[in-house]
Amino acid sequence: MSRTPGLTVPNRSTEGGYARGGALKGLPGYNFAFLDEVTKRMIRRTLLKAVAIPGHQIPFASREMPLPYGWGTGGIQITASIIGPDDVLKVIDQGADDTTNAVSIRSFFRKTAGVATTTRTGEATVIQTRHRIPEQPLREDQILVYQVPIPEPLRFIEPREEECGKVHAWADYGIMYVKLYEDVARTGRIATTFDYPVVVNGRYVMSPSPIPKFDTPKMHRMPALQLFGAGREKRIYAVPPYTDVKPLDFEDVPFEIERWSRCCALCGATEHYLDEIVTDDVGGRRFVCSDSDACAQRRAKAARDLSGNS
Amino acid sequence: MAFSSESSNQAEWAAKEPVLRAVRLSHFYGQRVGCAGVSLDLWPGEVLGIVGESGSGKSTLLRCLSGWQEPSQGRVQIRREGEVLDLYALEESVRRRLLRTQIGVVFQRAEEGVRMRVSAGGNIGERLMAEGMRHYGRLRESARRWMERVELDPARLDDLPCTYSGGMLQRLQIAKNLVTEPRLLFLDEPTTGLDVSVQARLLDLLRRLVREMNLSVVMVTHDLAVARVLAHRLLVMMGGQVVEEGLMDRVLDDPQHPYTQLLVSSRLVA
Amino acid sequence: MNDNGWMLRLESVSKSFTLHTQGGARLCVLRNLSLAVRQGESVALTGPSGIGKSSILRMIYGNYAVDRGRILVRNRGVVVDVTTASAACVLWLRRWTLGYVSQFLRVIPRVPTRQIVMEPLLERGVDPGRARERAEAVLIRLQIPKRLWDLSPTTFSGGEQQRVNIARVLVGEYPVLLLDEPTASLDPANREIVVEMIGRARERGTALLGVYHDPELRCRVAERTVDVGAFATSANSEDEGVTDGSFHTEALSDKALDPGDGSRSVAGGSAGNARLL
Repeated sequence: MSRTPGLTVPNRSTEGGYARGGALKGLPGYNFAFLDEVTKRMIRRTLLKAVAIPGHQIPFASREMPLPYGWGTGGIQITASIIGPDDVLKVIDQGADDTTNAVSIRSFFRKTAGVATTTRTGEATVIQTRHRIPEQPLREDQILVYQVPIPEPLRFIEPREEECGKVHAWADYGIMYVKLYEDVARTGRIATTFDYPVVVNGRYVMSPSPIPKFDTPKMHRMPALQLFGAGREKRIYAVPPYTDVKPLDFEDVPFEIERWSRCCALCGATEHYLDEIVTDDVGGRRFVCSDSDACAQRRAKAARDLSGNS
Repeated sequence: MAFSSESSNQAEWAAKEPVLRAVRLSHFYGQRVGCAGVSLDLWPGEVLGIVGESGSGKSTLLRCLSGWQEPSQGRVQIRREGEVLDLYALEESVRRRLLRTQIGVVFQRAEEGVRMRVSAGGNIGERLMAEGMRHYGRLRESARRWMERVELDPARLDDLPCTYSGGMLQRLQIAKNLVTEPRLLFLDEPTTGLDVSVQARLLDLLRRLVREMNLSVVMVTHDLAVARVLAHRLLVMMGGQVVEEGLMDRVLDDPQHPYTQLLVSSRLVA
Repeated sequence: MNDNGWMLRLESVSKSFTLHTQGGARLCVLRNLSLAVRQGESVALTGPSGIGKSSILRMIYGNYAVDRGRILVRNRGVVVDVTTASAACVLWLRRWTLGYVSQFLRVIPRVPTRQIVMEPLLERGVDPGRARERAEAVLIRLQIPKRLWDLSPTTFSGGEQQRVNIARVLVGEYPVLLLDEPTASLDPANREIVVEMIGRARERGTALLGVYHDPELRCRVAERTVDVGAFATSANSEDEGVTDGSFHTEALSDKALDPGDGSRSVAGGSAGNARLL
């Protein structure tokens, strides 16, 4: 189960103790899942509106959370507002379950909501993510919560907030193509490799958060509900299940995802998104899956197949 | 060499409708008067110069005429394919479309009209992309063609505007505005701040484009020499009001209003 | 009006200048001037220097405003009163009907000679190739060396500039020509060429009204003269006693109208009246 020798990746049975017994358990002196109920209701109302207008950014009264901006304050508020005592939470950071941020946030909800947590994509009902979509396809009964640093896809081309509002209101998105044009003019292809702008439901241009463009096609008609929270910018938006999500591109320079000839050094996968890891100070490097759970599952299956065969 | 082959007839000037009409335009900044009660018609193919000292209200008038500043009072009408559109009565989204397809504005400060961190090609293509062109190759081809047309080196298509000289930036602004072939062009002190030889070539380019594209132009300038080169007709503004109007060389050579005489004499003596 | 084939007709035209910058001094230049020029006729304006001959040409061209009276120009059935016509209408007349050779060439610096001569045709929408042919033909007839065609005339000699000026007007073959000292700075050989071309224009039916300094030349090109002195006003200023009208008219034409002297900077006054179509 463990990805790196010496580090035990916790699983549901070892982590989920607080939820058993039915009663809402949490940290004494704190409300369930940290946020007060009024705030949660406010955020849920915002979420309903966001789901009703796919891809449209809805302002909300973002609260101070016990972690710094940029660490997922938006995502954590959404998770806190939708999570129930029976939910099973998975948190990934750049695809990995074992990074500080992911571990801390799982721990936060175990303490404050008493919910079960997991690293298994298939077992989770709520997955909070930073910068990745799991390799394993998601289902209708799952919710994917994205942490979003900059919700405004026009930000870098149009700094005026009021003007951005008008561009969205009138779907007057020509300006987005200026950025794509610049990419192609400079590099001969669309060089945006993450946070690739998409059109949701044929209407709003949306930032998918800084996921690699490798993940962008997974958003299209995804069975799971996708929720996006930007804490510092105080914006929430959503992509309902089975909604069209199309990347912007030119007729003669179509959207393409990255391809590479390497495979994961641990599990041998060629169809997963890989991270490059520098292994020494003389230029040695390895490529491994960014999705730690997918990598672990693949290795476990290989091990089972191997033992089953022998 | 008969004249008849060149189709001269009175209908050419008599039967035309103005492309732009301002009706009693006034704009106030609080208590201060920007422009007051200005009415004017702009005819097809005409270059109308608005001259006056700074603070005379000419820039305010230009902003009101070009759709960038809703006036406190009055109307601006634009004629498009036979229909008359009241610029500020239009829904804003419709006005935006109209502004980028029918109207170009060249600012004195290029930074106001050019995206300095977007390549020349991206700048020129912007209006086309806004109008729905989604073919990279065709966008580039248009941009290259327009660079040639405004006498910029197409080899500099991918260079950032911050590497361009002042005169080149004005050419880029012109290309960026004319790429959708608008009928109306507004020039706000288009050559101010450029050195004189660059000025002359830019003015020559503008004259050529005005003729080739049958553009109707409103140009604000404090420089009477520029007005002389480019304008057909002049409005002289003082204190927000039009004090004299007429054929360009008549206004400059036989000014009637005391203010115009002062303006003309001080410019020429200087 | 009595129609006897006139192309150009001035009726009781009066002109004065009010100099607001000089205490509102009013200078009367002309009073009740009437004249007509028929098709194919060449009329010369005479009178002492500064009497207002050039001002008359400028009024006809719409360059000067008129106090009273009418200035009628006819072209193919259309009669326009220049004094009340809109700017667009005057420009239309200049494009198709009125050709004006001024004493000085005013052009945008850096624009090549050939382009300047093509301009009147391009303004009419003539195809650039054809305009070029016609411009070059006129340049050849006026003996402007081919090597100068691609240069701006701002650096040319006075005589060469004057011939470019004439070329630009002749290329347009206007039905009415206004000539202000067209041969003043030309040598005898070039003067002959210009005289010959004026003669040809007359044969084509062009109506000519000109100011010619040289009496001998005047006799050769004009069949009739009009003495402007008869219409000039002697008591000029109404509230400041007697002023020398000729002095003031000259002062205006030199300072206000021909900024070429002194300031030949590119963007300065000499950018000039290149709009003369």
